[in-house]
Amino acid sequence: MDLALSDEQEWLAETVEELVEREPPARLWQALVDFGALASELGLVERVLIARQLGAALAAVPYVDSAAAHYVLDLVDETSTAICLAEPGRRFAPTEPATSLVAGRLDGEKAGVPFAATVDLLAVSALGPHGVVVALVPAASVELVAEHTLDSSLEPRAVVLDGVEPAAVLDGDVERLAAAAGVLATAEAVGAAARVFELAREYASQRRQFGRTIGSFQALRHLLADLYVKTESSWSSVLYAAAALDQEQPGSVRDASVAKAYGVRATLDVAHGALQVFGGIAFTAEHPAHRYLRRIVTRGAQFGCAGDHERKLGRSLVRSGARAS
Amino acid sequence: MDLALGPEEERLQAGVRAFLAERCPDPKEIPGDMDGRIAFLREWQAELHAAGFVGCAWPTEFGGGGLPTAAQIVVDEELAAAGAPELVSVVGLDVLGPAILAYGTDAQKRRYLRSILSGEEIWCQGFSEPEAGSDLASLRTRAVECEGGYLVSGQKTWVSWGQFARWCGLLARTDPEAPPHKGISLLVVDMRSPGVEVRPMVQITGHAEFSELFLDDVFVPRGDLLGSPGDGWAIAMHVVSHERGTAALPRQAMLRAWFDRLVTDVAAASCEGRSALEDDGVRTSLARALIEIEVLRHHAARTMSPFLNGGAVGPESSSVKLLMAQAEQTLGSTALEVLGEADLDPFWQERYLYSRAASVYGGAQQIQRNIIADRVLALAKE
Repeated sequence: MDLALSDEQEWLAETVEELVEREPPARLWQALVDFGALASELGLVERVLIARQLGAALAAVPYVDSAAAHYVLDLVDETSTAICLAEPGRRFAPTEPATSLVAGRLDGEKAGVPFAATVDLLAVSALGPHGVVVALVPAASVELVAEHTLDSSLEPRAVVLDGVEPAAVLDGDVERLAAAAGVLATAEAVGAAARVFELAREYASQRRQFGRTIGSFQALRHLLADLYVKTESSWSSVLYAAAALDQEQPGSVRDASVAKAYGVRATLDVAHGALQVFGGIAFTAEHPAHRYLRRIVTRGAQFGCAGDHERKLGRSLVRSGARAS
Repeated sequence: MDLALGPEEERLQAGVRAFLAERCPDPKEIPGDMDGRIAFLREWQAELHAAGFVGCAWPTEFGGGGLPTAAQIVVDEELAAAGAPELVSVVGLDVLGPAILAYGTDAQKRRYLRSILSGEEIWCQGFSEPEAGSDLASLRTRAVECEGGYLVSGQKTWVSWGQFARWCGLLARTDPEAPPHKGISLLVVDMRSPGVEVRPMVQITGHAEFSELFLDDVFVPRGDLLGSPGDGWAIAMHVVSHERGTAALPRQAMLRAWFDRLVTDVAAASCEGRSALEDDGVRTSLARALIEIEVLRHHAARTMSPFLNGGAVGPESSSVKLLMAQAEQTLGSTALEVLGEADLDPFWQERYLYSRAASVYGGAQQIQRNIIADRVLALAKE
């Protein structure tokens, strides 16, 4: 088992980092598409490397959903996509949608869909006559309702499907779609966590109180060490799950749930800890810390919260007996 | 990035599995008394070594298998997953053998390595002292030069397997004038030497696996100094940091096997007239324990990747050590929580009690955080 990145993968991460720094926000999405960030030959490992860089820069682009949709469904390159799995008033259960596809028309509601108003296509899970399908709907053809959110830069919307006729219906693997999307959302959250952690580490090395830098106090040294472990271990878990899905390892969907459940809690801990290190300054609107926190909260809630994935893993213990892997 | 085993590793894995299916002892066969247990474990290790499953990555000229580094991890994971008895010379295999391999003379390698692999000679490590625990560099045991070697006097504690050991890898101060870290040397002490006294200590689990060690003018020949005088601290820290990484994946496989046993036990337990595994709260507690065990695997594998690709593991291994302690303690506490304390299987009592040591031995949790703060995050010293 080897989790080292190849030279090409290292190059990809560095190149995307430079691209994100260079491009103005309005041009970033097109620049990513032109670079080939959605190209079909990219595995999920490459895609999480890109998502991590976008999270670190707090980029507001529909990459997480688009990358998952392109990875699992056979879409035309360059199509920006929002994945619609969660439904209002229900626990996250992507393979048991209440939304229905009857006589070629979609009925139901979806919630928490980032960039729904700006993407080309919505990928909607629905129960059809022969099981769960993924229906592709032009985003312009549905009713969208703005949602309250901690991270308004992601522009999440509720999607109302009232007898909408999909452009296409795929027998896509919804479970794999949800798994890949959850791993990508976590990768973006880890990117944000790693950056806000780094800012907190730098701050602790400069800020002086009691005549010394605050990073020399053991209370903060140990807090920062714990945040480092949480950041790095959640990234390890994301990489592992992405590689497992790429290599179609047995249990890869379960590995994705592990990465999501762990990553949600760990990245949130990192953001909370970083705010503590900054102290009062982090509670001013102009300081960037809260923007990382917001991104981590909102990405963490997408594609199942920690509790959803813990319950799912718990149920799988019953189904699979003692040896779950 | 490849999660699957290579063809050679797969062959090795199949070989271990076939061997274990045939030969792995039932834990019930292991005698309860310590002397009987040690004799049993020695035989078990000798058999494993003869089959080629101990020291897979050590050089063939010293009794090893000459295979790539990853080979031993594959084997150890299988042993752990099968619940095979522990290897009695674990301290030699994980700490002092690697130190001899890296820093020993040819004569030292020839004398010591083969018997570590076969289990014939058990090793212990004499590092901690009553007044030098986390502050290990302040150790007081002194080694004074004499005709042909050193005379060693002092007291060591938490010496695992001390009462059964033939050799002790001992840290002693050879230069009292040097700064604390620089004046320490690593000596190989013959536990049969005059002046060595061992007093076993009973742990909270009820077993006496470690001891106190008293040394009174114990003679150590010059040829049993490892490396150069004053190298002791650097050697010890190098091998211990390395061991934090390499031991993690096999330890993870063991935790995973224990977790599977816990799921089986919970399924058999009843709660409100049905299997306790039907309870959503119980299942979520189990899932949380499982997540920590799985993430330990992911993080250990990533941290070890440079080493498996020919490089070295640095201070990042402290993060693996922290996660390992956390996962083991969560598992122990979860067993107690979901099975209940009343009439708890002694296996789980022991797992719970032993898990509390996981954040203390091999460098306390707080020391690991200091290592990360100093050497990974480059924060100012206190």
